[in-house]
Amino acid sequence: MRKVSAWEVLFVPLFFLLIVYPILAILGNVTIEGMVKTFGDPIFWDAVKNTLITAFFAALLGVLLALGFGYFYIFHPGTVMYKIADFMNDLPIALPHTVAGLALLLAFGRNMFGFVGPTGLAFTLVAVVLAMFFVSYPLAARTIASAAEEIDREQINVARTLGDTPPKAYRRVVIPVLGEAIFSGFVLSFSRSLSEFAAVIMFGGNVPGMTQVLASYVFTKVEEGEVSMAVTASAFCIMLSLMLVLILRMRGRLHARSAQSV
Amino acid sequence: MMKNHRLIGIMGLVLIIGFLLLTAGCTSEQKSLNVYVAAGLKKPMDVVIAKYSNATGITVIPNYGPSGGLYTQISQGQPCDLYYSADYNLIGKLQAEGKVAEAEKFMKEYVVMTVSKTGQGKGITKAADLTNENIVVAVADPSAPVGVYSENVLKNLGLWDQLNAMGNIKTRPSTVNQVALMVQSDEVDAGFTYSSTAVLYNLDTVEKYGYDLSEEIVFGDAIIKGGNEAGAKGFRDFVRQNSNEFTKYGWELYA
Repeated sequence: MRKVSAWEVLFVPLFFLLIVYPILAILGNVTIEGMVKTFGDPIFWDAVKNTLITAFFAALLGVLLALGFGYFYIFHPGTVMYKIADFMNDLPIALPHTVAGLALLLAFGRNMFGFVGPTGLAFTLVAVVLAMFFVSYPLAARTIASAAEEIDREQINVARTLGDTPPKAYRRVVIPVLGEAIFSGFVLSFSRSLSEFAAVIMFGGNVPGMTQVLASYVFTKVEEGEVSMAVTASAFCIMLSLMLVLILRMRGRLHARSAQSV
Repeated sequence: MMKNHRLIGIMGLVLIIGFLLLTAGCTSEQKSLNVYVAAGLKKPMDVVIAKYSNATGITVIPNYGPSGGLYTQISQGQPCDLYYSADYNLIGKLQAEGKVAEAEKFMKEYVVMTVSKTGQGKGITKAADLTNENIVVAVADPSAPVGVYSENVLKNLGLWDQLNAMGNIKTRPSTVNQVALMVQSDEVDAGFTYSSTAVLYNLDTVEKYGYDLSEEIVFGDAIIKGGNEAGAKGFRDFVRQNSNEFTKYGWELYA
């Protein structure tokens, strides 16, 4: 018989107790009544639609900026700009998210951005995207940066000596290798965006059918005491996240296979 | 290798001790009191809590939040000794669940419409003005009682459907304080808050609504079963004795 290590004794029970069990608790509390009420609620489906659209654009914007950060990381790591960006990466994670919402409201509300519309950028789907982006971008940036760390500097140097400018070398040599990291950066910030509600409520508007997203729908239902609906909507969120993870895994496997066959 | 083992052992030990300390802190500490308080009461309640701690040496741990959220926490069994709700109906729900040892109606409150600087410029003086073009209105989310009361007012005035159709309600914040903050920072033209909130945030109140429109708004307190009931009673009586801290912001004592 294989000897069981202390790590396994420690990990297996704690993992099931602290991670798997709470998720099962939500799924186990889903009731028919809650499902009928939630899935029959047109506002729920509006929230689902809003969530998918805004989280998609937030993740897209996140990856785009993260690639910009990656560029600084590879070509200008000594600059002040890089150091500021690196430092600021951690800030949105540490900031309480109601504060983030208030900050965004004051920065992009009508007092500063009144020329855009009657409420500035606030209380629109664009605001929802910005709020999600604000909290999820650091995850994408970290993912891209840690993948960029693995890149063989030699390749970049060869491209540079062959006459590529840094932007060209970044596009032709670095970004193709980052493929997997870009994808997981996207999925990470997408999932983080799904779960954000505090900043989204404060800055996005949280008007049912207009700017409400799944996370704030769940939050609202919990606060209203509509626990059965909140549980169903949460289970829906879990399924959505699970699907994302599955996609991520499947892509990872496909990628590995194609790499092997080369 | 040995060093590694020792480090991991120490980490594990610290975790176990920490866990024991944290759980012990929740149950056996007699000198503290968990009080769940509707977010709108924060300012006067902080003052009363400070006075009480000074006078008795008892630590009161307030948990401020939307009344509905606090209700859910208590209903799900989070340790709470005393609950101040902005909606007496929520206390009724807890009573029906058998969680309440003793409850009473504490204060009366009214819904008001407050107007920001820009809102004044747009000439908003009554609720009917909200249906003009290009007005930005904040109504709290129904998860906060004030959201329900404000909806009642607008429905009874026959403005609710029109406002929604026009899309003038641009934001549904989750607490009354967030509504006040938005009016104060001039991010919206008008917002519905409690009359006390308007005083607390120095906002311009243009209309006050009676109970025929909003329904009766009663703040209540409830001593929760199974906690530190005697301690909760002591603090509740102290709050009562210091009700002037509340009435100076516009709350009225219930009886």
